[in-house]
Amino acid sequence: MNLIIAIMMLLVAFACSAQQKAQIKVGYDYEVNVDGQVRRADYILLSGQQGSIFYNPTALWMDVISKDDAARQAYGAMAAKLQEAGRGDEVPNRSHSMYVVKDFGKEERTVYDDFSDQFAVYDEPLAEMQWEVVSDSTKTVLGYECVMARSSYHGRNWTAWFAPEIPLSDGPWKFAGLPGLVLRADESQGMHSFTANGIETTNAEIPEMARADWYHKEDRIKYLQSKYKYLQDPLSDIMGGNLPANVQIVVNGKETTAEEVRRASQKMLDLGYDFLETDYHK
Amino acid sequence: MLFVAVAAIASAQVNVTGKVIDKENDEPLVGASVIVKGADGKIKKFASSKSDGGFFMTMPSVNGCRLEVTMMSFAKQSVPLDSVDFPLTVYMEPGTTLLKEVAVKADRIREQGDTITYNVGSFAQQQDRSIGDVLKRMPGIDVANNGKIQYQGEDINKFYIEGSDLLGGKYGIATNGISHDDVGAVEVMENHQPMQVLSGISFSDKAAINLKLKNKAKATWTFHGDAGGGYSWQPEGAIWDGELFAMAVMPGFQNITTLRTNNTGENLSSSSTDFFADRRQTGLSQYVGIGLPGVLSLSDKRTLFNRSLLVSTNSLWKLKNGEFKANIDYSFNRVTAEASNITTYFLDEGNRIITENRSGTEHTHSLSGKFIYELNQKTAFINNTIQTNIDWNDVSFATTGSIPNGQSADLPDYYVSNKFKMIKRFKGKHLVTFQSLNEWESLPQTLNLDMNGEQFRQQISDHAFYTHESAAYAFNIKGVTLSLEGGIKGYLRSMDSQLPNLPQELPGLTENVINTNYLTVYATPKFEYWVRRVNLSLNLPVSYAHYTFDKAIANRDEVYFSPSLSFNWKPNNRFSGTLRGGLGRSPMNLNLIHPGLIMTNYRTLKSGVDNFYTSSSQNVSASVSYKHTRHGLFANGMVMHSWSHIPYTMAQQLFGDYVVYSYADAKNDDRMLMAMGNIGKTLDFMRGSCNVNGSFSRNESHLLSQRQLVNSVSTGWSVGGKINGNPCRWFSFDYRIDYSDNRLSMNGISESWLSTMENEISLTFIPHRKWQWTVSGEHYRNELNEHNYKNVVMLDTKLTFQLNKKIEFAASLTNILNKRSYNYTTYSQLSSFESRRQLRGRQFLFSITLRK
Repeated sequence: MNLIIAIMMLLVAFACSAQQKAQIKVGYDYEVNVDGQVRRADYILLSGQQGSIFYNPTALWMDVISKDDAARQAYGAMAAKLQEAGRGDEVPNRSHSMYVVKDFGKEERTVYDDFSDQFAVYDEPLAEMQWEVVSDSTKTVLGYECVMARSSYHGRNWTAWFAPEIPLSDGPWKFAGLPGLVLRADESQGMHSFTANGIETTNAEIPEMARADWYHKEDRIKYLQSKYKYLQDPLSDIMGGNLPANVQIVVNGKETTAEEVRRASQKMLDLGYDFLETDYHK
Repeated sequence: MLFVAVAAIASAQVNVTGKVIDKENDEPLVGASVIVKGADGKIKKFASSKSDGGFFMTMPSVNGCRLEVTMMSFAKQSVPLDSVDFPLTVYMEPGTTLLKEVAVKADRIREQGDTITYNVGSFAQQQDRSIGDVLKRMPGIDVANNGKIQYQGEDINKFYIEGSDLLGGKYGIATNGISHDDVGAVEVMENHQPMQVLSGISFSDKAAINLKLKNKAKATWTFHGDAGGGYSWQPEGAIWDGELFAMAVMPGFQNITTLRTNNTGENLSSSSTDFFADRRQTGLSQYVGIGLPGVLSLSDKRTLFNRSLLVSTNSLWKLKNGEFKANIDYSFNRVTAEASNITTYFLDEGNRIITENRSGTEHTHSLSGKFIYELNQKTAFINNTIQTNIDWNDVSFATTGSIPNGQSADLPDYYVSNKFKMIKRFKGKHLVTFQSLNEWESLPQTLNLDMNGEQFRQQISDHAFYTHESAAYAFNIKGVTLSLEGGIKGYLRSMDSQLPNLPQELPGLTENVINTNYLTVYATPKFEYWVRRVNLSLNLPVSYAHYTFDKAIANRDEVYFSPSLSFNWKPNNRFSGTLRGGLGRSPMNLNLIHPGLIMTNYRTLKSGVDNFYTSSSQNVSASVSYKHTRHGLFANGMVMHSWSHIPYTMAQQLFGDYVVYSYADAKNDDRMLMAMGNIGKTLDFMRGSCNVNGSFSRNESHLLSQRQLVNSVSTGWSVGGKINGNPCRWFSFDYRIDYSDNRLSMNGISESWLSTMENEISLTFIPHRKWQWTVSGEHYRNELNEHNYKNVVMLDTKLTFQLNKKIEFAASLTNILNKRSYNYTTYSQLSSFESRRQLRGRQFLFSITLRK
């Protein structure tokens, strides 16, 4: 018994020592503009000397509480209550659940992404993203003078604005490798953009992935291909795709029908929506 | 030829290589940003140091270039590359990377269901001390001058610390005492129903505030103390200002104990006022009124000549079933005031000057204890509150001038009450409530008067007992709650007063022996409909009351019916609208029933009514509120219209130098319109917030008395704004402006509009993280009569040095210009009136703050 406790203590101590402190906390607006319709999400970058995590705060919160039975029940009760009160759209949900964890020592990033019940994780070298600095172009973001840099990455052409005043080779999403923090990034089609909305020094700990156990190693291209296929027919994996068209389902708190979900998804694709990376179309 | 060219290019390539090393421990630094900048300062090439600290870049030439190495928490290193050999070794020394911080928007204000969470750190500024200072900057939250907190224009109904209601309505102790640094977040819970047993059944339009403490302040005692001493030019002498604050927030026990004392003009009443106190049903009020003169429209800290002490200890124990709380406070206040008025009459035979100097001292001791047991569960609620308040007040007052005299009064107040409430919920739908309230109060009053060498002494004894017992049953089906409450109220009061030797010119009785008693039985049916986003509530209280006055006036029986209706609509989480209306009849203030004269002060006497009156009133109001938490936008507005009809009025008669007030039959109709609005917004680009507010009121009354119709209208409006921000790391500011305009018209003849304007600004500079310098000041511009303005400017400054996290020193100089008086003169055709009031002069204070 004592041995078990000792081992557990050791594990806890180990887990604690693995925790690293962040030096800076940056809030980003991630906007997706599909034919003028803009959807935005909050993301946070906690970056430290050894590494960083880029996450959606609601997703992180949900993943943390998913480990605790009481919290999960409380969440269920709250969701039911909000649903009942006709405020289902306010139920916290994981609709933005991408995580990018960077390790500066290993010069590597780990991407956690999911759709439906598919959870994928893959590693990439940080150096994969090659930048060309355009020193003549500057822009002020949150009071910082930023320098322009360009990169062609996984099918999209990105323009990033980084602040040499903040000596962190980090940024939103996968961005890294510039001599300063990326405060804004736009892609040439104008569909995806990240813009910093706040910046604070912090000594908060960089959280570990709460549910690393949910994710499986996947090939990025294959994962994105199946994600695209899913969007073409979102409910195909439920009941073998034989869902009656008028069955009532709830998506992110909103009552809808299977047909409705399919149509909305199809409309997005018809309007030209595509992911942050497009090199999976072959 | 070609070969030579290639060789030339190859030889021109420079390998910029090297290592980045931490100078403190000689270890390689990974992830440092290495930049080669050209002579024009533009980035030519960049890299970052690898796991061995190394970097590698190739460049055609390094002429005129510099190598810059930067890393968070290290000082920047810059090396000219013209005459160096590679590989380079760059040693990094610790340093601070100063960031222009902009609070992360996603976290500044968050919303989850009915709870709005404000991140305290993102609203606090360097000069802030208590959590109250930070609450004032949060849009949607308003902290009044007396410390009362409102959310979206409505008073809050609970103030919690880590979910426990330790302080009740005396939350000023927390807002003035808890350091903002110990609070992680402020949560506002909208539509908060404090009794769990009523949740989902009874709607609440009030919000509650909960302070979420940081981990470092939990499960331990936190202390901080201030001790300050200095010198004041007026009142001349030594000054002090001290505070001790201790707090424990543990899972099963909470305590806040504080001691505060000062003679620097800081009013401690905001820390000892119970903002949730119900009106005492004993209904006693002082007949004697010799208040000290004040200085209108100037803040307390400029005009209060005080010596104050406050001790308060508050504990909460969580028991197996419910919780027990004890709140014990003692406060002492000594206030002095002086005023003189000089009236000059311009007469043909020469000017006549009449001077009146008044100076007085008031001592107030107040001891209160409150002991509460509460069980707050989903199926049962029990609360028993025993409360006792003992106040000793004495006032002495000397007047010199045309009627020289000395007055002194003893005005103690003794009060005890017990309140019991029990609610039980059966099968989720049925509610049974029992309540019992018993109150006793005694308010003896003694007035001594020394005038023209003669001594007068008036003694009043006044005590009352009130009891209220009730039972209620309610049931709820699908959002509809029907309830019926029934009960009885009994009231016994006796008052004696004696005015021994009445000045000869005054007519009337000098003695009162009065009993004003009543017994009321009542029933209140209530209907509440609450489904999804709509709440409708209708109250129909009916009561029958029997009054006995022991022959002073005839006994009376009355029936009262006062229905009220309220409707709330909350279509989404951002918008809420409420409509309310009510009408009813109410009895007069029973204190007005006394046939004999009672002296209020040396030249004012009052005689009571000789009939029992009831008044009636109607009111309608509408209010809206809107919020968009992600944009940090909060707005609310309210319009209210009310009518009242009172069948009596106060009449004034002059007998020589004496004024006698009495009551007479009259038709007194009053109509009031009031509108106000408020918009607050966060200003994230400078970590600040702003607020704009406005109000309008119009009060019209028709008084028909002895066939004389007096129609008076008073109109007033005000606008105000405030803004604060932290635009860069070494500077923050607060600015506030308020402007108001008022006018009175009588029978169609209007006096001119009179305006007051107040500006307040505070600028804080932080040249170094240990040093802080604040300059602040106020400007008052009061219009005395048309186009005649009185301007006052007050300036203060404060320098703070933070030795370490635990010790801080501060030196402050208030009223630098040493303005010692607030004098003004107004002129009319035949006279001038000059008023002189004293202000607190320049004062210097040095203080030490210690924190644990």
